[in-house]
Amino acid sequence: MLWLAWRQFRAQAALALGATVVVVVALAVTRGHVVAAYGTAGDNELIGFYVWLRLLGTGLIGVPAVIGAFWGAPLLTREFEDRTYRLAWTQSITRRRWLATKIAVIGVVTVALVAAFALAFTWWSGPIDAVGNRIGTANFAQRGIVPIGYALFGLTLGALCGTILRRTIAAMAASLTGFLIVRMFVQKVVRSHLIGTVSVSVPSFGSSGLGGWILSSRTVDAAGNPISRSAAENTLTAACQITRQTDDVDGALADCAHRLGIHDIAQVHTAGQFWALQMAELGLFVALAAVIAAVCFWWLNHRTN
Amino acid sequence: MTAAIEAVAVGKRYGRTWALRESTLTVPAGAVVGLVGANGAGKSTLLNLAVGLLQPTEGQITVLGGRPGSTADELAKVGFLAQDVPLYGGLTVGEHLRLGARLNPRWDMAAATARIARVGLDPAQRTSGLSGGQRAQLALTVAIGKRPELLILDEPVASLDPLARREFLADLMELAADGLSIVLSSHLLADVERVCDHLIVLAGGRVRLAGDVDDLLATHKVLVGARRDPDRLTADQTVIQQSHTERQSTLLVHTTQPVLDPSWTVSDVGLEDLVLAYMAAPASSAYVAGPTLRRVG
Repeated sequence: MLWLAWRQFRAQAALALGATVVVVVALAVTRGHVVAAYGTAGDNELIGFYVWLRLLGTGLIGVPAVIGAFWGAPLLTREFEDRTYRLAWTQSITRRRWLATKIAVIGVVTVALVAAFALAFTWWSGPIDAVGNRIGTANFAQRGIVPIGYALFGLTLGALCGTILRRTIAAMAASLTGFLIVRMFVQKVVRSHLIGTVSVSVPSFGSSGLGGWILSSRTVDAAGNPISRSAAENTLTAACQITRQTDDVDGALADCAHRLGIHDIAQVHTAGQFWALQMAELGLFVALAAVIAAVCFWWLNHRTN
Repeated sequence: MTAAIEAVAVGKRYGRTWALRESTLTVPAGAVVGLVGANGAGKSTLLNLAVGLLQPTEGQITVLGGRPGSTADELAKVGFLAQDVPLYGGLTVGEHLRLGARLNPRWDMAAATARIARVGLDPAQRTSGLSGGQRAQLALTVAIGKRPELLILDEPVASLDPLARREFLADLMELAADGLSIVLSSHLLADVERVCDHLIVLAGGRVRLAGDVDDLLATHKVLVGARRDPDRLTADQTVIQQSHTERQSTLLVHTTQPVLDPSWTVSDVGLEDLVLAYMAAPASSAYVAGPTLRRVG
């Protein structure tokens, strides 16, 4: 069965491998310039690379959805539409093993290529991330290992849509929609709860300089008693005679708050928790993929007849 | 000896439509069975149930003693040539044989290769360029290459020209001579008459007639005589079809006994007339010859 699964998939695998090689080589060649630009000229030189970054990052975001629609969905619909399932499923091999082998072959290629792309891109964008924030923004989904989880989720979701709907176009549409909804729901709602937060003290005014993901914060006075934001402002403006005419009001407020010990206690995912959060979200999507694959097997055995 | 196919009150429903209902029949091992019926009579449904591509909505179907398609072993016992001959268009003839070898533990590569050469197929050719007859020959090679005990063919000759059809059927006869059980569906009775020794007639999703062809012909008679009421026949005679003119009655009857009434002119019935009579007759007069002859309904 391994032979047939590979024979049916090898052209697409070769195409995807070619595209991945091109991307990884391009990243490797330009990485030196990113480092140089970061080391010398700072932001102005980096602007050119941010265009690249957005482009490739968007590509990396899109790849798992595309894998779901173009590899996952047709996995069964092509057999249904060409009616070749009647050839495949009447050989001396159970549907369960047929599907397991197909998913395994495409899954291995998916993991290998997406991992290569994602890790190369993470390495490439390292110098930019060093001055930016990669945990608290949409960039989180374009870095590290979570794209692998998205891709496996997309692949199995596409296969399930194809198993149920039996038509390629419908399965592709359903798979893309489902993928988008789940991905966005996890990003907006679930992700922040995946691992525990860290409680840190950050300045109440001015930049936190944290590079982390602030989920909530409350302002406290020097004794640690919570005070409202407006109360804090009133205290500061009175103590340090800050008025509308003061130059650099924000800077003055920050200095004053520092002197009086007024600060914020924030619940954050710190930059150091990046990989822990990556692991947690990867685990979530791999688990989702496993559940969807199980439903796919069940459907094929009990409902596809 | 285990029956090739044993169906007990099998029914299959798609949505609200029953494609097959209350079908009970036994296909003996070693027979060449013709499955006959109009389009939509339930032939493909019955065959797909027998290979495990479909599961019955009601009743039970057993193939060579097991539940069809349930395990790799059950699958290995049955070779299937599906309707419209599905093949992978991107694969070559040779790759289809390789597919057979990879997916079937009992695959006979030497025989399959020889067969491909004999029917004049080029192993390097893609199947998308094959003619209907070539496709059927390749699919048959894949179906028998796994060395099944039962070969099931769904409308195998529908797409073939008359010459290719004749050759294809001759191949089947050879396979049957080697002891393979064969079930083939067709809406062409002439083909069935040529190769089959056992017959199943479906109409409206129900089995109307099933049995050994010779037995069926021996136990059905056409009676012609002066017009009379068919109720006045002896108890062992069952009327399948009747037609009356003002002075004359013509009856097709089933009987296991000789017709002794001298007022009847008795003649044998042709297979085609017999099949058409059962297709037209109400489902209640269905006749299924099992291991012991019995009448259902």
